[in-house]
Amino acid sequence: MAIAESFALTRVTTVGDYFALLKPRVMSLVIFTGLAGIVVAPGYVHPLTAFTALLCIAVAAGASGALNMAYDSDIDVLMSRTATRPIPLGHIARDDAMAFGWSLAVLSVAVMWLFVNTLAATLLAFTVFVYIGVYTLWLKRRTPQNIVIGGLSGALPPAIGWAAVTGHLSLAPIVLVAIIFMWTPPHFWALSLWRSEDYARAGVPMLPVVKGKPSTRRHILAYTLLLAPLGVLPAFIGLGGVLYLAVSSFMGAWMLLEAFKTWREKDAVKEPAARRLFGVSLLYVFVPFAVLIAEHLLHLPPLWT
Amino acid sequence: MSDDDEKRAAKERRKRNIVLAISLGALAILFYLMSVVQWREHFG
Repeated sequence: MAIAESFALTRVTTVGDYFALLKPRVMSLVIFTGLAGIVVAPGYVHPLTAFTALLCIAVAAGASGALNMAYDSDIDVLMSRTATRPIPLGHIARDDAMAFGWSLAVLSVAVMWLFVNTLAATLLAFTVFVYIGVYTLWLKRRTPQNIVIGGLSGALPPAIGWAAVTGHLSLAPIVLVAIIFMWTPPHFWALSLWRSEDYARAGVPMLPVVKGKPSTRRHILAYTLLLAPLGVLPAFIGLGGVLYLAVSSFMGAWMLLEAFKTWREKDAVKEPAARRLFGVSLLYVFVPFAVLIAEHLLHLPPLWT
Repeated sequence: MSDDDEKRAAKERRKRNIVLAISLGALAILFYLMSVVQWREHFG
């Protein structure tokens, strides 16, 4: 980590720098899917307990983001997408980011354990472990399967939300986790198609760098083919209603269409199809989960009981 | 470092301290409220 340690501070660290370390956009996804887990779970939980659970999920996600930026600062400086992060810019010291990240991680798990329940706290600690220990420190620089396995970390929030309410797990939260788990690879591989030079420069073995773009396109299509039917499954296990079935079917078909276009793409420089797929994949998580939350808040009946 | 830079740095440090104080205060309030909720769930 000699390179990372050599970043000299260019100015005093601001509150905004600490906020940027939390990866707020990733955090918003995690909060949203965690909220879905809380809302769709059966049973009652005090609203303040639900808020505390959601806060812990958000803070742990932010802590993971900060730790990821600290451990990866030596390669972040080499990639245009990440070179403007606070550590490569010299806006915050790597050690400070590390201390900030670990403090928030320990605090979020401890508060979850104290005020929510042991299972939710254990799952939360597991997400931090997968993101930092498994993905960032172990797999990211070693295998193109890095985001497949590391994606489990970002997929777990619905299960944590569910566990916060019920104290146990069942098939329903596992299906929600499986949807996000299966969604993660096509989402990041689409990004990596037009960022492959960045990853190659930093020595990160993303799929287009190691196996080439045609193989990546096939992988994207294969994962999306598995994702589309998985996405409608909540309607058949008592979680989603008619509206969820309609929206998730439409979104699944749209994402499949974009994955197909990405598979057929000829422009390997600008990668317009991959860029569209990336945008649609963001909607794919937000829209059906929003419908799921709305159906439960409005007490609409599930399709299957 | 010029006077302006030092003033800006001092202002940023003050802002950081205020945000830290507010965060810790909010955490203390959360601890208190959650203790009340848990107390009521067990004994209320």
